[in-house]
Amino acid sequence: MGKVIRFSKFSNYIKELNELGGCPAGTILDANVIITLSYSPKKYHTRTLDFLNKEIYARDIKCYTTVNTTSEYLEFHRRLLMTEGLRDSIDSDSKSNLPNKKKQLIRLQSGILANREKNNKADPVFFDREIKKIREGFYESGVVGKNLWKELCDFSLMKKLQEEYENLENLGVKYISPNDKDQKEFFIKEMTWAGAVKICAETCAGFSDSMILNALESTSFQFAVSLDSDIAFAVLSNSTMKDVVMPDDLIDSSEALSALV
Amino acid sequence: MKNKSPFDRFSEESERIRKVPMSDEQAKKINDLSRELERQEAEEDNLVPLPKIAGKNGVEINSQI
Repeated sequence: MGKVIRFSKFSNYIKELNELGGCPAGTILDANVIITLSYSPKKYHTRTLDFLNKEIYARDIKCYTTVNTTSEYLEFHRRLLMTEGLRDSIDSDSKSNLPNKKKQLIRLQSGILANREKNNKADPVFFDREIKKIREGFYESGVVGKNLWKELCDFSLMKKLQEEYENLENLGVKYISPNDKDQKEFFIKEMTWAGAVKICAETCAGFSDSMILNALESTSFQFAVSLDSDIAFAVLSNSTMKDVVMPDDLIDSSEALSALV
Repeated sequence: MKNKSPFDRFSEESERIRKVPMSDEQAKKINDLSRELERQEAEEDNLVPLPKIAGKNGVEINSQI
């Protein structure tokens, strides 16, 4: 059975690994770790940043991701940047002055989001369906409405999303691949889709989680870093799994998980 | 001063990207289109339906100019 390791216990864990045969050369970061690092209002931002700096970067442990990470990262920032752009455009201090009907459209969805933030402590980010509703309202106004929507996208996304992509590239966290000659030394067996499907089918882990666990199985890496309790349950439910490291209070926030760890 | 790690720089850069405000040029484009859309919608709102006219065989023709 794999282990779920608290951030606070990581030093001891690494010490044990060292005694057993050496500190692992690398780890896999879940997409939610990268996203949380990039967005300071996110819960766990500071402790994740501190953890990576003090425990991973300081030990020169190389970080990798799976192929899904870039698309998950850009998808989050697409929604975040568009939410902020739309909310800015209806702000009383905004330089732009949208037609009242369009402002009402954005205000309606923004109000729903504000309730979600207040009641569920959700991120201040529109769901995709909410952005679609607003976009539809602009497109209903024909060519001018469509052009106006495109200008809002231009302001909110055009340059910023490209820069977010470059920022991710500059971070230098590559996706784990047996085809990369610099990574060949890490692979202990073939990494296949069938392997990820098997993990998913055994535990009903989400497929992105299954890909991370499959990548761990295929490499000499001993642990992944995640902010998702689902991956912890998957690790705990299978005897062949490796380990996952996560924040203490994420573990403690789930009675079921904290009872098992 | 503490050296910044790649993670620190990544986090700060993402914050910087998000905070870039709307330029005057972007605001002008949005405002020009907004005025055009408001004019268009005002014209549409001002269209008054014509009275219903009885057509051939008593079928109503309900039309607008």
